[in-house]
Amino acid sequence: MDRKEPSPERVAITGVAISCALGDGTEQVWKAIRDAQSGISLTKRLDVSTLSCKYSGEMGDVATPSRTARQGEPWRRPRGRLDRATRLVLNAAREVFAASELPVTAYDPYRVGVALGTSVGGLDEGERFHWELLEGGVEATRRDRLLIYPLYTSADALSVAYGLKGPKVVISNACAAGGNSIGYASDLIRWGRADAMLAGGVDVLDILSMAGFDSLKALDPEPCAPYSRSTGLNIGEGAALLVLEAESAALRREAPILGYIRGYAMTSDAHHATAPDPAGNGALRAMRRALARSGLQPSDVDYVNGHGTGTPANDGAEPKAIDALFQGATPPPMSSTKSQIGHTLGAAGAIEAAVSVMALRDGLLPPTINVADPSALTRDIVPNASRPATVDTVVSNSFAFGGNNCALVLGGRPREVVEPADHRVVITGAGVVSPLGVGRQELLEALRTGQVAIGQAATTDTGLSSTHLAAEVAEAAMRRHIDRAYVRRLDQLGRLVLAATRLALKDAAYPLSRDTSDRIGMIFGTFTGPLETVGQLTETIGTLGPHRVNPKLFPNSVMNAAAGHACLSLQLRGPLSTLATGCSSGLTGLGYAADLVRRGEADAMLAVSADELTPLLHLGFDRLGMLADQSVHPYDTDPSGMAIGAGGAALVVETLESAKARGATILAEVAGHSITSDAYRVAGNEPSGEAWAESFLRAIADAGLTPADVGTVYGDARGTAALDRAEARAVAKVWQPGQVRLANLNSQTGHLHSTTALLAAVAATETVSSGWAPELLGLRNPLPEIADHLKAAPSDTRACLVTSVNWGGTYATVLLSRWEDD
Amino acid sequence: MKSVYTDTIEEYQALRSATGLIDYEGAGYFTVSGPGAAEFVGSVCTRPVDFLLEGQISVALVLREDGTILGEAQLHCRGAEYLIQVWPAQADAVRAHLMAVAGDASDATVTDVSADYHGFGVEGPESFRIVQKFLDFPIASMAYRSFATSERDGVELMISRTGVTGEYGYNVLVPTGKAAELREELVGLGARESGIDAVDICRMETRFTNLEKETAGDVATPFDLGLQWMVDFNHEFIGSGALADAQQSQARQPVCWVADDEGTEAPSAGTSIIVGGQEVGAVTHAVFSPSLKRVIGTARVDSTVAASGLGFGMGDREIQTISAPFLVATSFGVSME
Repeated sequence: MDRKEPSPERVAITGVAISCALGDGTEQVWKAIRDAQSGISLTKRLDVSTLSCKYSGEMGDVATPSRTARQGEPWRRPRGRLDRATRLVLNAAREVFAASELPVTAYDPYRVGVALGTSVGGLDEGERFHWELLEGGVEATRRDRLLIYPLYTSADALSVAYGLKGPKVVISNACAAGGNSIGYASDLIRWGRADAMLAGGVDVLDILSMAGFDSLKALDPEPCAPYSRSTGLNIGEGAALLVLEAESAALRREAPILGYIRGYAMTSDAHHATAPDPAGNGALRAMRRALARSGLQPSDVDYVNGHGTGTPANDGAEPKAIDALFQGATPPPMSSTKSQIGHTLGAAGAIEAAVSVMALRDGLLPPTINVADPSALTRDIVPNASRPATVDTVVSNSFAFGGNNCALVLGGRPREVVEPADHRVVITGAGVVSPLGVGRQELLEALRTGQVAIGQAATTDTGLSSTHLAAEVAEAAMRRHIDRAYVRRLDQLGRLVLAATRLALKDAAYPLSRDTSDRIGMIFGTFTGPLETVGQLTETIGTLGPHRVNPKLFPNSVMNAAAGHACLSLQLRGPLSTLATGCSSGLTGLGYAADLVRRGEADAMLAVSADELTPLLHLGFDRLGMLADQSVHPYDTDPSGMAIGAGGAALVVETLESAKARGATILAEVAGHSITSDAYRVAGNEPSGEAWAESFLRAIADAGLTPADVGTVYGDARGTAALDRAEARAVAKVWQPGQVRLANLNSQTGHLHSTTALLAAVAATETVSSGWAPELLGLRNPLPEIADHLKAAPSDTRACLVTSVNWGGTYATVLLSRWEDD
Repeated sequence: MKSVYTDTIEEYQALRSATGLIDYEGAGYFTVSGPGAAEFVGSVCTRPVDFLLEGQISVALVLREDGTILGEAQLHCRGAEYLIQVWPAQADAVRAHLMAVAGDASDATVTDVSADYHGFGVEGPESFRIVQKFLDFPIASMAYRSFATSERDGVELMISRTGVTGEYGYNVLVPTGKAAELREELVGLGARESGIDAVDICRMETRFTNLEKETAGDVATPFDLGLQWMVDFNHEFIGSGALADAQQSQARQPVCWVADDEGTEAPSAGTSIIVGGQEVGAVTHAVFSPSLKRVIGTARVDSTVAASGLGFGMGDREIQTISAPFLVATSFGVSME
């Protein structure tokens, strides 16, 4: 993921695949869209008899892809049982690879990656595990469900299937995820971090989404009619993938270019947990910024593929934003693909982007169907029938719970690329809610004095687990940093995020003000997500029925709810996204935040990670036999198991100019970062550590440094057999003993999933400034690969490398360096 | 504040079904600035302002050292400075108190700016249409308890979304010299001047406490009026110590009630509330609600019978206690298009 400066690349679209209720395969879906068909029908697969809405955009059976590769196809079907979402994605991938003829093997595999948006993923497996537990107790639960359940499973499967070792990111900001993923992937190419990306989204129908939207009274009892009757939405399912390539590479291989991703932008409404700002202000800012990044004016827009869910809230706000964008001029035609396929949640933005590509290709506007009386319309929504038009610029909108807005700009012709800004990025503050204390100084003091936060669980019920170690957060100490009037709206994850974010802003003395609120945003990463809330909802569905779901709980069940609450509570209106690439989400988010700041999309960003500890989560890891029963010993020949816990961490990353102008204390500079994948297997990590070492090297190169410039590595080994050994080997590949010092917080703070690595980044800011690093506690019989690396080392202020690993082979690494005034 | 301009019922109808104009003549306005501003405001109010952001409003009580209520304060965060707004009837008492305690604060400056500003309430289900004319952004984006400034012909207005009727409600703060002009403009745009009597009915219906009536000339703690929800007990403020004791010794609790009959005569404060011939409490405040066509009110009764859904005697009438609010505001059914 090394950067190639200076010329930003055009991002070409060289392949598209769509599957949804209108059909399996792009041309079939596109024909049905052109013919104004409806994919909305009575739901068959799920029992929705007690819900107000019986309709959905449901697909039939989704076939398991065959093992056999087609000629020339670098295909390898991942091992094990594949859930519906993964099957959908893999089938779409096979189509898009065939269509684009992407020569994966001709590229550096570490520069071809995956960005996937999803909101539901394998949730069904988690629900079944929970229901098995409720009905039959621990022994009745199937362990394999836990390996399929996480949101990142489909992305891992894609990486495995095609040997993609580049950046792998799962974005889960609810209904904006598909669009955000395509935008994110396009930035990686534009900014030279990847040559090609597979980007898109997938979501399947799930009883939790059906019941949740029903509880909010957001479902239409009839097939939905966006922008006309606007009495609610229908949920759908599907997947779409785009192959994005650097234009230069696409031209070199003479690939057919279907269109371009010209730009995108995200904003936060900071208005309400679920409803959009009724005046569409956040949506307006997203569209404006996306056009500005693309070097375009509103008057250049030929067609808007709207969010168009059909709910009164969206259909009231979105047209206002459109009208404001066009400032009195007649807006271009706008239509809602959701009228034909339903709202496919995390896949929606991707499917709609793919449909927009087809519209560009064929010069045809997709319709909004179910308009009862077209003569009553006050705007052009392409009612009931598609129509030919000259289309060169399309804006595709996706808006989500938590006030997350994403606007993508797609184009048919190559246009001048806007030269992005290139700021230096520094860290000016940190907020910590950890088992080792609350606040940056408390964490550092606890690390200095060798405190260990791992002990017998005191407030978390581990009665169902066979082991009882945990690292718990002092709830009262955390709550002091949350507005009491707001806390009742928050679940555990929401409290962790809000408290950590507030502490970080305070630590940075960042002056929040109304005038600058749209220049500060947040990238949130989490492994567990809001498991407490999701567990409550699945229990209700399993015991009382889907019609009994509590409408107050459902909005908090999306991965991005906690980030949305923090932005609402603190009035942060800049770019907002949520990553769900498991344990590498926190550091990936720090890299994403740093890039947005570097490229001028925000003056400051909060890189936040938080993870919950719940009895169900503890049981899950316990069932998989991964938890320690005595104490945690990293890098050990006899793996101890890990101790999981809860925590939140937030870093304020800011342009150097902004930090200097306000006289901020600069803790460190974000020098470089990278993400790699091992393309090994779903829920498994490749043992040689090659991809992991590659993430070190590419982050170091991104910073313009060499391994010799790195003084300290903050590792992510956590007491397991596979990960600890892979990390030991990765470190040994890059450094000889004595060349680098090793630190690791997992045996002190506990393994807080994606959050430990951000806590390590907080410690690293201290390391580059004072030379101190926490002693590596819990060493017993170190692995031979690394035993000599672990010997005590002197104080060292050279750059710090912080790394994290996710189950399923994603490696995110960030390099922090001491900031010195030139 | 005038009791009535022309007709209380008509003024009430304006507030409930169109737009009423409330003239907050005599309201208190105080700025608190300096490095210790937030700490000072927190020390004199029942809620801290640590979590308040620029452009947001919090509402809190100002208490005496003995825990009794001096007044209600709207706390506006203007970045590093706070503006405290106090209802006209309590302005003098709060002014005296603030100025007395301000002397002890070394790093906060309290300034009485009451003479500089004049406030108008613009409330009712249609009020947003009028107030939109004073804002350069869509009014639907304005969150409850937030404010924005807006310049108009060189005059700076501070417009907040607050209110005391349960309807869409806005407060427009204008430099005193421009108040008459603004009043005329608001009336011209269709806001009907509404007296305190009409406002008071609306307040009761949606259970906004009328401090001057419900304390009935006595001193009262937040517990006596059911206002403990406006107190954050996790911080120290003037009166917080006494308040902890007051909770222990509270004998009677506030309840809301509706008369069974359709009589229009509201009982005076102090009228006995009776169960089985025994006096168990007294009326604290009552009004006739034109929408409900009933007399509604508040009372303080013995803790043993302080619950909703119970029948009581009140003089020769029967009443039922209920859970507030008494009615749902019209604005709930009005979309801000």
